[in-house]
Amino acid sequence: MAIIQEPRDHAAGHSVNFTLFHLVPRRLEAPPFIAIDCDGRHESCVRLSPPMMRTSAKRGRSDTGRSAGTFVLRGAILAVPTWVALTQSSPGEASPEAHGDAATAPMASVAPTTSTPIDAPLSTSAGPSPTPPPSASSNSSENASPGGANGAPAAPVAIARGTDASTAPAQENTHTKLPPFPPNGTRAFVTVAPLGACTRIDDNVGKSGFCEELLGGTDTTFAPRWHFDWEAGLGYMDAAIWGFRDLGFSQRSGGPYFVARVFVGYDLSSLFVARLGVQTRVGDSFGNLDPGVQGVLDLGTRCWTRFEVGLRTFAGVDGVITSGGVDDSWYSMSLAYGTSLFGRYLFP
Amino acid sequence: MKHGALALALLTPALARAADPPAAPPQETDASPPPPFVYPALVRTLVGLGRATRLPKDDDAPSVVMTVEVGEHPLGGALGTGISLSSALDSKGLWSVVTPGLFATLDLTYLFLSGLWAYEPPPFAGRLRVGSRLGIAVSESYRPSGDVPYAPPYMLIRPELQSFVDLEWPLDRRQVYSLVGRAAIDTSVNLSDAFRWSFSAGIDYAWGQ
Repeated sequence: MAIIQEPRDHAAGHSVNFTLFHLVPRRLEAPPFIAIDCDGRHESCVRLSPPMMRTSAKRGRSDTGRSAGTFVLRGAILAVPTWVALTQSSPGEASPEAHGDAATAPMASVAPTTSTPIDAPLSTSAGPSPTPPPSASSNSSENASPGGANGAPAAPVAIARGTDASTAPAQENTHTKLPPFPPNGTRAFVTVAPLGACTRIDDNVGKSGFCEELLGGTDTTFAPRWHFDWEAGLGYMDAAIWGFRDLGFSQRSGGPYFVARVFVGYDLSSLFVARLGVQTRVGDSFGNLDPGVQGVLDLGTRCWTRFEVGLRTFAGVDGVITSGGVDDSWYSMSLAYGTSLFGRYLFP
Repeated sequence: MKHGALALALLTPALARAADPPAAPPQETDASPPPPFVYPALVRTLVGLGRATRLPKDDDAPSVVMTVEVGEHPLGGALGTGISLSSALDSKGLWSVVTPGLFATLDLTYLFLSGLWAYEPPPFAGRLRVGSRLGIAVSESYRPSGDVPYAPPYMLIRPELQSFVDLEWPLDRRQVYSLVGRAAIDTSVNLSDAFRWSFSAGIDYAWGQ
């Protein structure tokens, strides 16, 4: 006769009513444990519980979400015969005293839960087993032998037990609590880069100084993790003037400028975003445009729901306008690079 | 009761076995715990090339840069601190600098993965760190013999600030060994004058629990 025991919460020391509800995960972050009392001797027991608690080191997240479907399916399959057995067993056979011995038995190492090994489910005795069965940590010969403690063959029965999710040990992977990836769609944003260091390498108008920008644009998530961004706005970097224009020769670069950039971004995680793009900065020097082109790398993190903070690095060329007189001027390029902090607010 | 138990005995293993997907081959990642986000202690060695700024063109030549660092990663790996010893040797033999000092780094990867310390960062392979090393530079320089014969060496001791960016990539599964690339510039403490810059690469060995 099978001994059907109510599950016991080891941590709290009280029994928990066993219902089918315990077999269904309430939420993926903290699934209720289904323990298969098999002390490592039944193959289905071994394969059921551990994967739900494992953590994939490569992907850095729990397998809980992936195995949720299998989890429910297995629970439902196991619940049917268990429910039949529960409804057909007499009250006397599920004696509460049996919990005490089972609770003190060693836990099966293959199931990192609050489960207890079951003792001879098909034993004809109605009382608790005098000796707890060997645990999964015992030697392999014991595991290989299906014999019970009293010489009777061990039952190939696995009984699912449920415990309250709130009493489950805190073994879940906290990485699963990371926010989800942004959904597909387009969102507008404003970007502020209040603190930057911009350098221009030139014999005459080379200069290192602060640069600031204010921009607006849109972010389009066109595939999971992939983004396309554009933004445009105004900025300022320290201007440099060399020579005397009235005397026939002068150079100028920097000052206020218009900036536009496009990005292709990829989410390295749900918080960590990297963008690679190209930008152009166009200023006015002696009445002439002095465009420059630079490659841009953004590394940022999403925080406070709609904010993004990061570091922007760019390198390329800037334009330098040389004036040889009132009507004579020409364009040249100089190496330029810089870095700046940026903050972005995405509108809902 | 016996019928129910018998049905339970016969049905459950078969149903459970049928519900199981094909057994996947055992993976090492499931058996071994994932490595920590960062190990507490580190030893780093770097070798590279650099140049000194503001030298006459006749004396300008590449220099060999070597760095050894020993330190730790406090605050769960977000920061790095320790002692550093670096040297720069002119390939022409005109000058050499040895700089001991203390360094501090900020792991941008940690910040970006954690949402500025809002979440526990998930495992991640690469590392991007920015840092500075404040040290006392002891340099000795020589005038070329063609300029000033028998000129005595000139020794200069001054504080220097080295700012650097490190890019790390692990070399093994446990992420104990990492390949490190560094771009660095040595400046005055107030950042007004750039003395030298360099690019170097090396190995980072980390350990601890």
